[in-house]
Amino acid sequence: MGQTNPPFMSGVPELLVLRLLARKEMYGYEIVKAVRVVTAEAISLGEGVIYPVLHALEQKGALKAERKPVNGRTRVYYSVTPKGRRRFRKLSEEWSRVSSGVESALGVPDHA
Amino acid sequence: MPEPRFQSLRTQLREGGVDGRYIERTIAELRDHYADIERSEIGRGISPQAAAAAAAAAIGDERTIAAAVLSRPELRQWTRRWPRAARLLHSTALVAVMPAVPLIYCACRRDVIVRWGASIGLASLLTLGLLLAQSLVLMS
Repeated sequence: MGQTNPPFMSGVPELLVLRLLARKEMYGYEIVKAVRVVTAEAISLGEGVIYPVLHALEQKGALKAERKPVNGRTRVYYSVTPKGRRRFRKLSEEWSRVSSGVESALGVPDHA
Repeated sequence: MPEPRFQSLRTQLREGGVDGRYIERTIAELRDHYADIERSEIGRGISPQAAAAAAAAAIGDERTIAAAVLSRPELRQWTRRWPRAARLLHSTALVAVMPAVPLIYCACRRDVIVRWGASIGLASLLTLGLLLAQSLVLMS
């Protein structure tokens, strides 16, 4: 497994969280596991640092947090708001633009 | 993450000016997360001690978590996010409250003020009565 959250990963945790939560509501531990699965373990979010990402997104109105009782205990479930969906579209477009730019740069022959 | 490390995280976040709501939520969710990892590891047949160690390692150390929270200004108290506005509001509030201080003081100590007022009033009446009586005696 690679380094957790290297510097160039800025914005990626947000993008992944919004993508996963757009499918269904989840709690922190579930999100971390899901990130590992959907990225084939290429990206591993620091498990403890997922919460500032979630709280910041909630504070910006992109996520909604709801405490729900599950098997005799309560868990905080997160879901995406309409504002979060808009933010996801914007981040996704930015990511596509950046990644296609990097890909084209990597594809340039050395003598160019 | 053992309890003293949660306490240490709480202290670091408090000192960093993180909003109290987010401090308590972060700690509570990390506790749940830790318990989930521990349970999952035990379910895989690992000893409780090894499961606790694995959970603590997965969660990460409290300094890294505190740094991640502190790097999000939106999670800080508004007085830390906009210190100039907080100072300005504080000064304005002080100036606005100052003229009301004597009134507030009087309202809080009204029983003493009423007692003193009544005593002074009675003493004035008595003095006036004595002066009046003296002047009547002198005139007669």
